[in-house]
Amino acid sequence: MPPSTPTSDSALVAESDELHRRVQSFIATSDPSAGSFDALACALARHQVRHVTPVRRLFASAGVDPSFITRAEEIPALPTEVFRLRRVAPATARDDARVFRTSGTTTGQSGAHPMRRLDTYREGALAWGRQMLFPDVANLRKVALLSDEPRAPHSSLTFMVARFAEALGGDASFHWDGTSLDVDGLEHRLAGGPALVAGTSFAFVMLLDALGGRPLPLAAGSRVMQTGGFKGRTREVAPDALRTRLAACFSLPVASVVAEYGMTELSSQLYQPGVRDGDASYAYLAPPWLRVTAVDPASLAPLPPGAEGLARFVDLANVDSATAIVTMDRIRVDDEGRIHLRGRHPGATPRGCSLAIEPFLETDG
Amino acid sequence: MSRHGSDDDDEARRARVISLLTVARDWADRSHPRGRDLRVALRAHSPLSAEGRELALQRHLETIDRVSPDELDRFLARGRAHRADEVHVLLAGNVGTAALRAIAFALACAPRVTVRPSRRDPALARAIAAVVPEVHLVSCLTPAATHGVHLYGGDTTLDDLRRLPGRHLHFGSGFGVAVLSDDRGRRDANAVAEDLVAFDGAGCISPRVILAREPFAALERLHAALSASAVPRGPLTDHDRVALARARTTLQVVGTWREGPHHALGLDPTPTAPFLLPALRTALVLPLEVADASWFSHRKLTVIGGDGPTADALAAAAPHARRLRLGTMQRPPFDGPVDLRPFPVVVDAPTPRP
Repeated sequence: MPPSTPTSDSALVAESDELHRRVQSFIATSDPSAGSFDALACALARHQVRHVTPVRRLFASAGVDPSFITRAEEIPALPTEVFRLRRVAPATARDDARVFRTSGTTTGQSGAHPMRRLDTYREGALAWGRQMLFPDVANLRKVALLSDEPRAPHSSLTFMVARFAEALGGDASFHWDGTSLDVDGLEHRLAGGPALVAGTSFAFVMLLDALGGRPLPLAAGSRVMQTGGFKGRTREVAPDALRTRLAACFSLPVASVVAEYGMTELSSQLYQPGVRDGDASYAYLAPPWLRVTAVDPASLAPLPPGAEGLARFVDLANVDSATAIVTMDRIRVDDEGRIHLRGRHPGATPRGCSLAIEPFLETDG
Repeated sequence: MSRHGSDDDDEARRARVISLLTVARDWADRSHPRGRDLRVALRAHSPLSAEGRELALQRHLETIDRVSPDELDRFLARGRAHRADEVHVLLAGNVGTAALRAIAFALACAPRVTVRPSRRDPALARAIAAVVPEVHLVSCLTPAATHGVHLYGGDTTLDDLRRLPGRHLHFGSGFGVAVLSDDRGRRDANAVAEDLVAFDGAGCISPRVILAREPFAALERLHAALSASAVPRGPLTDHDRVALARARTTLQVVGTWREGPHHALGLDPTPTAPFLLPALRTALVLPLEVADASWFSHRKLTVIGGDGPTADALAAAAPHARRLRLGTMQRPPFDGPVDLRPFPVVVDAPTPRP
């Protein structure tokens, strides 16, 4: 494989800007043709091999020559753990417009996803949000069970919801201060016309607990987006049960309560199709600029439709980091391209009192 | 009168422990009928290879011949502090020989010991119950509020059982750190390899992180030492293979990976934080000068192997961790439970109804 020589900063910026332009064009036209997706994904991978050290090392260890790849599935996928251990971005941090961070609640150590530009992330989130969350209503009140941007500048979820609020017009309200939920303010804001209520699953459980079984009916046309798990929290509620309970609490059809699947390491999101299609399915849909594949957990080879494997993502909106990543989440992709979440891969067989990887990094005290 | 001038109860506790350690000599001996029977039983359950099981019995099982009088005195003194009418023990799996010290400690505390063996590795507990009349096996622990409860195992299991009545001692998950010195390169590598081969590196005192001033040289020496081991790793499950593949890819991106048929080592030359490889006879090598004692969860640190300023700094941060020579990290003195971290004591056991 020929050596990859890092180019100058100006060349990097020009190359990156051109790729951002192409990706935004792809998002705007939602061109689903596989050829252009693959060509763009491979161009991104070549850019990343030149400028992002972990991606360059990944290609080298996999023995893949970036100049010869033509299909997205040939791009080696970066394990998400690497975002906790290395900077997955061009070397200089001075050009970072924003650094999104994982919560680190499980490991005590957060992963980071530096962004040189935020507009591609914004365009992708808005384009898919318009289709999946607010395709039918132009005027929704925005209520978030989240911290606001000044309080959570590193939260990609907060960033996305704030952009939704801008796109929908009017103010958004944020009702989580990092430790507690402002239930009174939230109830006050929810009284009135149809609302988009967004928040983490954990915050919604806190709300349900605070209401103590009391319903909080929302106006017809409202919708709820919940996301995230319960890592590091004291209490978990099964996703199906939470969806049903939220629908009952807000007096909404179950289809109007949708889950979002996103992660700091991705710049694109998946949604359940309930709001758009009126379908209460638990499967998720990815936007055309995000290709999701189930891969064999050991070999990372793609699996046929219907087979269960680890989730591999090729995200065109990950322009300056790693376009292909692989998580430890198990999924099944059905014949229609819908993604079914199957929980986390358990990792190595538990071994007595040997320490699992995650508690190792818990902070003391 | 005992040589310590203590009462008969102390003598009875000593007698029970000595009796168990004496029988243990038979289990360690492959030519003894008890030793043969135990080997047959271990074959059905242990995750270790045949050679790994033999190593565990011959080298790591505590027997009366391997325990000094001074160690035994300290062991009994620790037991005395936790005396009870009855002790209930939950055993962890995988380090099959650990059942002996766990049950011995319970016998040092109480005249009656009730044991729930590990489902994955019950052989030694069954063998003990067959010859020690004070030990009784059960499938479910039902302690009274005045009883002792000794729980060994993963943190989730311990959390699940923390509301059992009784006076609890918890021995949860942990890990060991080995610190390699500058001037004993190959000897240290061979010693750490011994520590890592025992129980396939899956014990709570197994070295999972290795700090070295010359990490690349240490990695290669350790890789060579482990490659020369005559003790194969136990068979891997599909999940184990996935975890190893994940670790391999990650380490190839952030550092260097060395893998043999029965071991794997990763080196992160510029770590920003430590992490663990799956407990499959693996270890992560980190440069000594970069590693920061504050990185480690000191509640989880059970053993510090080696010496020098870094080992001293770790020990200062984790004073409960055992300090052991390299090569003996899996053979701590028989002076108490293997894990000497402060025992979390459950104080919110259910209050009896009036």
